[in-house]
Amino acid sequence: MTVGAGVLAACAPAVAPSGQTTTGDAAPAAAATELTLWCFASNRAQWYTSLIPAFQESYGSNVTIKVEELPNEEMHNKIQTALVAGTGAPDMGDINIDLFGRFVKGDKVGFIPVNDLLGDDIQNLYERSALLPWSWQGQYYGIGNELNACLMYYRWDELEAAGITAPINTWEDYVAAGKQYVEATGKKWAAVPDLWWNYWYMFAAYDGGVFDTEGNVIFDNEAGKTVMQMLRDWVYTDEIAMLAPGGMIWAQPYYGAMAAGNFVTCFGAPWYQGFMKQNAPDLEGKWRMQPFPLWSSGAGAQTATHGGTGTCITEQTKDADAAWAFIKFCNLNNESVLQGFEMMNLFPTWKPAWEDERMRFEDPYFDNQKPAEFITAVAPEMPPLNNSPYWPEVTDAFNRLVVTPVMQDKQSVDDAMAAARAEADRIMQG
Amino acid sequence: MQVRRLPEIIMINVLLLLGVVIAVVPYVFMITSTLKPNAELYSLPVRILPQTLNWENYRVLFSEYPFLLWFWNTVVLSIGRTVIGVLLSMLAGFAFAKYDFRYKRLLFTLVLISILLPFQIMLVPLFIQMAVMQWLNTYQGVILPFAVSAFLIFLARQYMLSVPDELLDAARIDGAGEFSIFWRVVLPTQKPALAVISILTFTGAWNDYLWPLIVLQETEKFVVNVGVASMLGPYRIPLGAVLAGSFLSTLPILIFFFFMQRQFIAGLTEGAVKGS
Amino acid sequence: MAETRFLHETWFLDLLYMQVSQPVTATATVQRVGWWSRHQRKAAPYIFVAPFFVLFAAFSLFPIVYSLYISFFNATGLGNWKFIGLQNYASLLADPRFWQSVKVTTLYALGSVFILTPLAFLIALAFHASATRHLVSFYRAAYFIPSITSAVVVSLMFVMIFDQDYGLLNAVLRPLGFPNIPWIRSADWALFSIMLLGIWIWTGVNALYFLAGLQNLPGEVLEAAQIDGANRRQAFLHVTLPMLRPVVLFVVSQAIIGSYSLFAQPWLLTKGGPEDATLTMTMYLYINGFSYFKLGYASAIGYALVLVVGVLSFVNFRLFGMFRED
Repeated sequence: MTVGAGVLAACAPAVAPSGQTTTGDAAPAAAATELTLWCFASNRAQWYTSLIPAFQESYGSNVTIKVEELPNEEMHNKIQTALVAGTGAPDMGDINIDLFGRFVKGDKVGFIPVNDLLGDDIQNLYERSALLPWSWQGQYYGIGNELNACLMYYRWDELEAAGITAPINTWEDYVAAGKQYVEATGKKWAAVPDLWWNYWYMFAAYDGGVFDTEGNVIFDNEAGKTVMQMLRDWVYTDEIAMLAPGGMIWAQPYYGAMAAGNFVTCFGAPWYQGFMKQNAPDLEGKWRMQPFPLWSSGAGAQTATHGGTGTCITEQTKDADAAWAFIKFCNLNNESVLQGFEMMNLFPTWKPAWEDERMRFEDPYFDNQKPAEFITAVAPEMPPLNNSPYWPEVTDAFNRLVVTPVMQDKQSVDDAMAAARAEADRIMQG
Repeated sequence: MQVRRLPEIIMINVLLLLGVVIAVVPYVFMITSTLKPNAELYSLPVRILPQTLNWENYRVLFSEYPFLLWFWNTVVLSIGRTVIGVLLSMLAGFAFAKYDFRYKRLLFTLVLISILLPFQIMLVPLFIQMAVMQWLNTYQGVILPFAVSAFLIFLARQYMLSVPDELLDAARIDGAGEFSIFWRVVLPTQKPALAVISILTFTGAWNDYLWPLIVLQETEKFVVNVGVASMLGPYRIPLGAVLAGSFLSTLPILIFFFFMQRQFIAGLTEGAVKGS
Repeated sequence: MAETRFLHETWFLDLLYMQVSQPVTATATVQRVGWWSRHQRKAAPYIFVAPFFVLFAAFSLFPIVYSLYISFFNATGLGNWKFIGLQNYASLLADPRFWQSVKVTTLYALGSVFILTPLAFLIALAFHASATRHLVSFYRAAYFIPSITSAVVVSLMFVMIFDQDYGLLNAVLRPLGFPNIPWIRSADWALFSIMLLGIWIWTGVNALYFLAGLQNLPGEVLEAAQIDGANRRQAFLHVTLPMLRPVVLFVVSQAIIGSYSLFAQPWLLTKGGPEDATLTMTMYLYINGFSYFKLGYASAIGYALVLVVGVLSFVNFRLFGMFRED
């Protein structure tokens, strides 16, 4: 694979690379070492930067961390290409849950497994949010620090005015309440995306998902079809939902519609709450949260995970020990994790941190409810998210062949699912 | 020039003016949008002019992002690329124009073919090359590989075809070396060519996105295009600030163009007319 | 010690001598100066074109060859890449998404050649007839502006214009009775929107090419035709157009090459969607190489693209006459 690179290396200028050793060398550098960490989210970059001084105090000032913020897509592209080139990768990288799949594509993974490094600390993590999405074939490659237990959010003031009782316990009730609301006010109850598949958590909640534990594609099982049909019906049959302005739930027009009160229920992880607060600040105090409704048959889960970022150590790191020490310091440490919570509204995956007083806060945006109560209540039920090397292609295919045609009412769920199944089979074979 | 009837002339001009409006309005819209708060950007009714003058986007741009640094990087890198590109294109163009050498046709054809190649097929190998040569995140990595473009050599050649051979021969008789002929005899007469090629190279360097994106690894080293695109986060798009950054990054070229219209236009049209 | 000082002095003197005389070589034996001055006229052109070709070889030729090399391997992810011969190409032929990208790119190219180019020509004719020199200058500048901004900036400008509910385009069309067209949100409209954007960007420049061509036409030939009794239309069709052939060749070549390289605008506006409606070949290459980490397959796509562009350019040259050196 590095034949060409070898030829090039022969032509390279005679400059000694700055101490890039492979992971075999665990000897800590006596001289100052600078480790690079690449991330794609500015809030995370700020969080890491704020932790560096404390880290240096505890580990030693001979290690510095340089935090680089690069655009999401390009950051991952560079890391993977650098891994192919054999040089140029950072020591650590924040890997987006959605983009992790590509790194486990070949025979080799370019990240250092952390199972042994974690040791007993695994018990102290909410594994399904912290480790499973960044794992492949039993090896954990990254630590995620976001307990992204999704919840439902609703405008209690609007619901009350329309005579709807909350919390809503079943999906059937949800639809009925929606119809009642629409009739009473003429506005919409929900906003559903058609260009991007934001709702993977809904499938997961109903025992679906994209992949099962063996890596088989399962999005078109009973659960998947039911959920897709339900979402479509919300828009076209029950007419309680509109298509999300902008096509996805993080487009500016979507938040504009939310701020204007054009829809009154939504779903999402804690980071989604952060966006709500940022983009619709005037609605403070008017929202409340509740677990997901279940199906009246009892099926479903009250939460699922959505999104997340895991910090991985690349095999090109100069000092694996120091890198692990930093990651451990940031993610497996009460103070650091709570600081992350304060800075980014991200709930920790590090269980001991939940005992801290700060986690028992009341959120004024959600009418002084205590998010900790809801999240810790549903977290144990969280369905697993099984990643796969084919995650990018398969989710792309699902988005293209199912979400858009179905949500734009151009195709029936069965037909779209069949097309997507055919495509997924083709992908998995090739 | 054929004489046309007045109504015809008026109609033609009206249509052309409509075209001008279409060409210019998107820019105006972008500029006025930068003065709107984010909430107003996505609201009805759609207005071109902002309701109130709001400088928040610029504040965000300059305080939360190292925009001035990006701007400076772009200036330095563009000038660097222009100087090298102009020199090397003129040199090569001169060679193709005024010398007869074996393989001339072959080499020139190679130059032409290289215009056909889509850049994307070279992305990954190029990145690997840059990584191995340790040119990632360096000035030379951004400037050198694409400093000289085939199109510009072609253009330079077109301009220099008209240099009289007698001039060159006279200089040779005087004992001047070939390079000195190029530097002291030919170049001074090629001011239009120099202007045009400089402008094209500079604009190309300033607007370049994919290549600096590949080479640069640190936010502080970004050029404006890469920087502004990097503001499009996966979950957060400060659209107003992004538009502000876009506007400011294109402003120098617009100003440059305003003052050097003739050369800009001449540059491209020379290639079309003289070339084929 | 005395010896060393002596050597130093001669070295300095040599330098002095060199600066005073013509700029050739430094440490000179008479023979070497002679070779250079005898051969420099022959050697010079090679030296002058050398920098370009060195850069070209290093940064264009090598990646292209390497890319071809990779395309014969199952270069997926990290780890060992297995040699698989032409299998990537075989998979390509059977890949519906690949053919979709060919279709998208070709449609766009057709639009460029058959809509954009004639439109540019018409506009050039209008410039030519617009009566005053000042107006022509003004129009030239105004129509040129869309092409000088970067693809990133253009795409961001048009995000706000193409938006279905809050965009400028629909805001203008709504009072005229149009519905809210989902420009970049519907698979039925997305490619058309990208084409509109392409037309907005490039028509002006192409019109200027044609205008330059028109302005360079020797007047005598046209007059001669008129004296021969040809009317305006005949003169146009049989004299003007054929003489513009080189310009048309140039414009169409650029259109073809540009269309097949199209990447930035659809990437930034629609990311190839919805439903692959704007998936260009270069984009499919990029996605396979990076998002799916299938480098071998991506390289194969790249070569398919080179092949297509090569064939089309060849056809184009033959149709409009070969490139001729002056």
